[in-house]
Amino acid sequence: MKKKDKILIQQKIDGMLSDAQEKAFQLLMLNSAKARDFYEKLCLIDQRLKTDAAGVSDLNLCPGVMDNVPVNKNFEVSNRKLITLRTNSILKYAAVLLVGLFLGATFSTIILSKNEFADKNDLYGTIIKRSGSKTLYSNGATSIHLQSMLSGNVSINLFTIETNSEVEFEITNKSPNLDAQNIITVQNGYNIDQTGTSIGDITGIIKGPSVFQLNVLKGNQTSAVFRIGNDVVAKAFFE
Amino acid sequence: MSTDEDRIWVNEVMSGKVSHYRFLVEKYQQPVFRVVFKICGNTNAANEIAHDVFVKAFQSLSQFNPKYKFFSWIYRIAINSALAHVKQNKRMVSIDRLPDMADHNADANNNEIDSLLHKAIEQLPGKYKVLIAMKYYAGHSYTDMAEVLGLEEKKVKSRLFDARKMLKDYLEKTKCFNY
Repeated sequence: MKKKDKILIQQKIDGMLSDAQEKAFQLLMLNSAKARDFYEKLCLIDQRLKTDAAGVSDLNLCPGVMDNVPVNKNFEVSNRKLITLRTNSILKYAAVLLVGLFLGATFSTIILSKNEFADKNDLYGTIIKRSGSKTLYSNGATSIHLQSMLSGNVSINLFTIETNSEVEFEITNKSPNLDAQNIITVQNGYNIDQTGTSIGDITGIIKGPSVFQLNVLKGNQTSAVFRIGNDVVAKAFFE
Repeated sequence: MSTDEDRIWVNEVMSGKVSHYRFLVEKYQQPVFRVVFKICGNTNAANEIAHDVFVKAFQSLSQFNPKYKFFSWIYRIAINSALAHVKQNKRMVSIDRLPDMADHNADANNNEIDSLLHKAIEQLPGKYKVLIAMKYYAGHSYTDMAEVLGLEEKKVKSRLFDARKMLKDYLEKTKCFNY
């Protein structure tokens, strides 16, 4: 039996044949015993599945679910914004660990000017991974904090990116003036795999072995930048 | 699926009218339960998973991107949870399967074809099982299935065709069609 005949049979079972296709189907049934056999067996399976599905009892989850949701949950306050990044490097683990890197004004790659972020604009976030519906926080290896820009100090804690898996950067409530719309990432010789899927979009991302760069855009002002890689840099640019 | 209606409920809930979440639960509880049930093959587990899906969805509502459809999102959570359950409880599912089927379809208890068909579905790889569950147990259209699974409609059709053919081949091997 030809593939197109099998597709015709499937469409017949799904009730999706046009008049012309119906004629072709009738012709096929007349002329091919094999096709008839195939059709009859799929019909039987289809029928049994429908009967079985009809026998599944209905249930009412509402009371149980509503009992388990906090009636006073405030989504405005507890809103946590997520950006999803999908890493695509061939390396299984491009783990980057930076421990309490405290960069002073003397650090040559930090460029500060007069319009630095106020503390309330500090970026706090967490790199998380998801496994099904579970959120996995790597032990002590996920938080990112760009702080005290005014005084010229940048603190980057450590994080891990597992490549070939979905990684999200979660901005916490401690960043009241920043959300995903304030975050952009920049391509720099590495493939962009996926844009953000939460509030706002990621426009680009630098990825590669041991390299991850995230740019922070505040309004029209660019930006705080940190980059973690073989060459560790952290920058804050403000116009 | 009226996505506009869903968006309204989501917005209402997020603006503080938490009790309105029940409208989303009421709307999707049956199809979600049916899909989960067919994937994991156990009523009690399906009940628990479906319940958890709605609670988790509520807790994560602030992460829901309104660019997408609520039903796609909730189904994805449900399908992933059900598949994870199957993976974790492979042995348990297989033991529970037969008595559980009896609960749901007492008339078919002695029916060899039904019994073998269930067995055949159990043996389908996850991606095919999901399609059978969505098509027959939740009554999804090809368009909806494509949306939820992030596949092209053409791909959904061909995968469902393969799933049906696998069921047929399995039943043929067991000489089920001779009954």
